[in-house]
Amino acid sequence: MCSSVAAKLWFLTDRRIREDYPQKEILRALKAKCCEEELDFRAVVMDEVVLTIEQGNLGLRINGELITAYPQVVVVRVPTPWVQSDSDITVLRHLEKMGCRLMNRPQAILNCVNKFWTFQELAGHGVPLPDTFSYGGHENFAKMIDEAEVLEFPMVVKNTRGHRGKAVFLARDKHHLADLSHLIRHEAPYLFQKYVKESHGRDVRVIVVGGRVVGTMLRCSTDGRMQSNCSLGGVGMMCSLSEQGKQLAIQVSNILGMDVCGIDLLMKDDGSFCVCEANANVGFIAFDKACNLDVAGIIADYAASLLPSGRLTRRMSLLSVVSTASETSEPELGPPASTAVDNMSASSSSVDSDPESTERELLTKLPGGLFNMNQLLANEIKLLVD
Amino acid sequence: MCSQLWFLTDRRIREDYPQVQILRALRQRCSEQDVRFRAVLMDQIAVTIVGGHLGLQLNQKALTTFPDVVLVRVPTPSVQSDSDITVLRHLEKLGCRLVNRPQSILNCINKFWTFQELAGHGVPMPDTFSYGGHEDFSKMIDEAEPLGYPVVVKSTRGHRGKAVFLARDKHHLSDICHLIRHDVPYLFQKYVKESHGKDIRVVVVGGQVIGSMLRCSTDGRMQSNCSLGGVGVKCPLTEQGKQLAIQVSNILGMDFCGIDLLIMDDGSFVVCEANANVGFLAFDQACNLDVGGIIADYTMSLLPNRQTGKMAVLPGLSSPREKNEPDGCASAQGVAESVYTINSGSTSSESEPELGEIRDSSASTMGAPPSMLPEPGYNINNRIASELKLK
Repeated sequence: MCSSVAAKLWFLTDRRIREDYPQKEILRALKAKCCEEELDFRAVVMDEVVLTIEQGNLGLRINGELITAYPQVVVVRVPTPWVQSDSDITVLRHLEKMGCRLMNRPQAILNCVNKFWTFQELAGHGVPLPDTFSYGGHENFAKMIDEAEVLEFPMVVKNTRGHRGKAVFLARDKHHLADLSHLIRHEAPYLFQKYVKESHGRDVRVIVVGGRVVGTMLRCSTDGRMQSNCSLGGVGMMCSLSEQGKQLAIQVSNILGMDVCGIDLLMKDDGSFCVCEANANVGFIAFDKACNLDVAGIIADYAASLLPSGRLTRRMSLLSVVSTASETSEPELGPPASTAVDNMSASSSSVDSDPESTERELLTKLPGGLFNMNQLLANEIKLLVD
Repeated sequence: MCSQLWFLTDRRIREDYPQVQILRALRQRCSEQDVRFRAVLMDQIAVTIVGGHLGLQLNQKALTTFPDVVLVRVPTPSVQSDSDITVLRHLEKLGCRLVNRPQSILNCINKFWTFQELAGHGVPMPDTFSYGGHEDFSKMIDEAEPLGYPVVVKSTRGHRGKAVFLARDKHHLSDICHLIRHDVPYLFQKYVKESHGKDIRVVVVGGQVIGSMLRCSTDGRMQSNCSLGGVGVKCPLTEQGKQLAIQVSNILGMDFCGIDLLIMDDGSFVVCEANANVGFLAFDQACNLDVGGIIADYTMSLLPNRQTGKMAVLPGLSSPREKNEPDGCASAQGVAESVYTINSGSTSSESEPELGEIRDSSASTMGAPPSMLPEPGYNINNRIASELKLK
């Protein structure tokens, strides 16, 4: 069976997190936005997706359906832990290579899954960062105890793949680290970071969407711990951020290539900031409450703005059908979908109203360049060479 | 000052044949061509960010000069868990030219990613399905039916021909899906029956095919890897096969790699796999080659002084001096200046690696190098930013 419904915008998430607040809110906001603007919308769960390569070209199936009309924009919310083992990344890069605009892009997500990678991307851009060390290979933690001594104790130690403030601790001295090195897990490397004492137990969470700061929240721990994550019992309250802080968050977001992210800033005594962390899968339940915001709505608005402006929405294609002198409204319900499909695929001049023939036509065009990002890139390279 | 070249490998594999051969070949060529050479182990490196800039510590010493070229041989399993990738991308961002580049290595470690990169370029490959998320293997049993049976099933992260099996039918797949590991996804691939138990391993270095070997299994198994007991014999490859291997290598961005081709009855080929950490013991024996030497030659060709050296000779020839020897010195001085400019922070012209390090270290205590560390020349991000501004 083939589906020829024009799916302009998808929301792609995972079964395990789709009932969480951010995902439910984003789904609600996207549905409302798409209904309002008459955009075709589809919610997809990661485990419904099958990736194929047939006849040398990328393909996609969902719940056994061969997909022949691909979304233009995909809003992505996948659990952080699974991105680590690259299986979800496989899906995301597949969609990107098929020409979909992912929000966030796979590379941007990758820049955030390993905390040291985040700093590697930010280094050299004049972004204030706490001095940080890490290592390659496995079981090199013990060696690093000596290497990182220049960072001084107490010292922050983080698993490069931890999240929600877990897998982070303050190491009081060298012996403490030596003791721990035999007990902790080593499947992912750790980073060692200079301790910003003045920001102990508090930070500022900034949410950036589409290159704009949409809100800022001061977070404080309630148990004397160093981390202030709300998921660890920290409390959040709205706080105004200096222009300097806003510009820093926007700069970080841009360097990392994020469409949506949370930037965590540590606060110095002199009122300046340094970057602590970036999060591609930022939760915002506490944020919405503390700042009285609808972050999901803002995300949905931005996603809609990414749709190609030259493409007809169903409303516009309906108008074009009306202009063909058809008077009754009932027959027009069918053709608009086909027309939208044709316009989206950008390779058909047909105004066929027969879905079957349209599907057959699309199938024969599957190897067409527009279905594969690699060929689009190859064309662009040729243009550059000319 | 002369160029710097590193050979970066891992303690666990440094005694293996390929690494031993590469080390021997690099030492020899660097000695002949007055290039500073250093063999470095992954666990000797600490990657740092100090004052907002990337830095590097080697055996607890902060480096102020970085190699021009780094030849990389790291074990495939470690690259999977991204810790080695952390070091490789750090070196790349510091301006080193890695052989292979980190992104190329990544393109090879997940077999489905390899096919994602190759798709749409007209490269013949078997139809292949995969999935996201975990524990979706059982779902795929139905989804992959269009591939027909028997079907090839591979862990996307397997290597050396392990974690691959031929599934004879649907029931067999259902039976084993409860038994196998699911820490990484699998791919399902159309079975190329005519190539059962044999394939052609092609080694490509610097965009050129340097040899090809027919590999056959000796136990009726589908995989022909020599590490599983398969045998390899030298095998001439058609021009079509060579061009295919070169195309694959170029698309994946490899400096050197092994491309495994399946053989169709009509003599054409289908791409089976690409390997960034290609072993070549069997290859050297079967084809009477010195792959380590070829890799070393190619790596040397990437050094900046090799390019500037040739150009420097021309001004030397046009100089009024008659003796070649003094002109050589002048050229060397030009090369040294070029290297100095690239590094932006070193005043040392020592050719002795140990002494150079000591001098760098003592200079560090005087405080001069720390002030030089923020130099943007050390960070590829600044260069990229400059290029963006130019646009």
